[in-house]
Amino acid sequence: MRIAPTFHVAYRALRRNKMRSVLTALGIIIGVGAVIAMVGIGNGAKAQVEAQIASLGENVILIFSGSTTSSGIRTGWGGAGTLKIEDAEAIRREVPDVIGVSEEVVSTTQVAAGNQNWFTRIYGESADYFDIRQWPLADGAPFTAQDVRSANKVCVVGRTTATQIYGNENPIGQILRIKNVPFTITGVLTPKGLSPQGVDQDDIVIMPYTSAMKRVIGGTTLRNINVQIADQSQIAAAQQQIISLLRQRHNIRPGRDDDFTVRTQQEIAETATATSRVMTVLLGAIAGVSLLVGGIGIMNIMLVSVTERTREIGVRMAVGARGNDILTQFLIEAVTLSSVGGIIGIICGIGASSVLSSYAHWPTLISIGSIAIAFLFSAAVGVFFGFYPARKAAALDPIEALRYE
Amino acid sequence: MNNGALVRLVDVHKVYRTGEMEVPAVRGVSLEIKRSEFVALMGASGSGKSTLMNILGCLDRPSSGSYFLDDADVSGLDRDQLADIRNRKIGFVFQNFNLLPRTSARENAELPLVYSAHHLSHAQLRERANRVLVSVGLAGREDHHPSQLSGGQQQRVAIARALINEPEILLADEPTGNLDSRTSIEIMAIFQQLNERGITIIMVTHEQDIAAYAQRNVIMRDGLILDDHAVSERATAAAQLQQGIPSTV
Repeated sequence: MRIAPTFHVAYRALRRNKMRSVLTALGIIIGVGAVIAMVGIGNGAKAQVEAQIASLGENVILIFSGSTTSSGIRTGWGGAGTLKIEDAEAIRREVPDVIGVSEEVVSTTQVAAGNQNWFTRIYGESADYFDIRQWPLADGAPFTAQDVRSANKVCVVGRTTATQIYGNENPIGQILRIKNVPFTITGVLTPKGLSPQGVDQDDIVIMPYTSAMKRVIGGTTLRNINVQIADQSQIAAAQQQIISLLRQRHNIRPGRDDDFTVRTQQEIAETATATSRVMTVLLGAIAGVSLLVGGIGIMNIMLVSVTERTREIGVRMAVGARGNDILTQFLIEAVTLSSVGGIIGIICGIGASSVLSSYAHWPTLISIGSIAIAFLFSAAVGVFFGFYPARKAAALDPIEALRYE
Repeated sequence: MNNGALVRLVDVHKVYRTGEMEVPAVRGVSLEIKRSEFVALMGASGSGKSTLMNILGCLDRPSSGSYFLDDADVSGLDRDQLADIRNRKIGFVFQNFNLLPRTSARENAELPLVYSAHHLSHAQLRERANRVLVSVGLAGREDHHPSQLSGGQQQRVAIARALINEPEILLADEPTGNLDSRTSIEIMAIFQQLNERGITIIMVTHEQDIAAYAQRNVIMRDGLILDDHAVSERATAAAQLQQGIPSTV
């Protein structure tokens, strides 16, 4: 059988019932468009989460104090003050492959300069922090290890904090009063944007942890310790070494729970991306249902078409068309309908997701892979739902088909 | 075995089953038709002539008995094999033309080639369709759709379609049933002309004056051949047209 004229016949048959073809294809257009847009949104969210996790830094191990059951009360990470500055120093000293350690304390407080004030988060860190988080400064310089040792009254500020206090003025060299202690601003951080939880990461003041503990927050324990390992392959070993080192330092007998929690960045990333993966699958499945409905529409119209063209089928059989020729003809018609719908649907889906990302500010990500899958899927829908009507046409008896009125 | 018969039916029966009832349509027909014969198959409705026509056209298989076409037994072939026989050896002309609507005369004529003749290019296909359309007197109408053609012209397109694969047999089922008398004679003129060129024609008709254009009349009744005789005073369509039989159009 000749393929080119068969396509021509399919094209003409579809064009003859323009409105009907358009409406049938619309089912596929909406289905494919929804799949593309929904998966785009899901993947966009996932990519954003992954980017946020990556911004924690590379090969990072986080040690939180607490999160264990002490006397039956679970305190949550960072709750019970079990991590000491000495623990961080021991990690720095004794665990191999550690390339950076940052002792971290966190608080929120009011900061002020001139007649402006602002409620923000205060992070106490070591000088390694900016390398660990891969968070360079946009302007100025970070505080130094010397500043940390001497608990100097210096800090760097995030973009949001800087704008809220100083407006368009350059904050570097300015004095920022934190709990009435004057700190000199040495630098402004590059903006990071919102965290996956919607927290403005640029609404922050970072100072040496020694200064924070001595002058702002008080206390003697750390909320957590950020540790950076040289190479990804050493993370698991380093995690074990940190656990045994801290158990030993905290005098925890075998069989008792840790009074700290160790999480690698990878573990955090997995939890976070698992959530968004579930979302992507869910959105895709819902959109897939509409594609299914579109397929049923194609089957319906193809059945109508076979009935309408019974006489034509009879003529074709009389002049020598085999059952397979008829089957192919109607399959091509169904697949043409569904794949043209698929292509238009892909375009609409891309359009819809770009509208969503520009107006609703939802991050969307459309990959070549998802476009290819959507197209193949729409073609497959045509084959699947076109097969039954096409087989029905092919099985017609030529005599009865010729006689059909 | 070969006695020059192109078509040989041996004790052909055809029984239709409607529920529990068995309805015999053809009850033992033996018939031989030689190459280049022009046979009219006649009979009242229900005589079994249409059923016999369907069997002759390989659209249907006999319930029992044998059908030799060109010395090959085709009574046991499957659907696909019958389709190939129809495509290569048989050309159909129907009472209601059965052209594809909204499709040009050329494409209608090409139709059988779509399912064979894979070696031909698109241009060769067109060229062959044009040639056969010209031969049935439709020069200049190649791009017309059936709705733009008269009944006689539509039947000519159907004849062109039947001829394009150079078949052994032209099977015509009441070819003039939907045509006026003048156009009927024109179609008969084409048939006689084709027959003179050596094409075997089997034509179902119930009109005595149309059957007179054939060489031989086979008359059926109740599923059996009642009479089979040569036409003594054969009508010649071309001569009648020259004499100018008044058109009823």
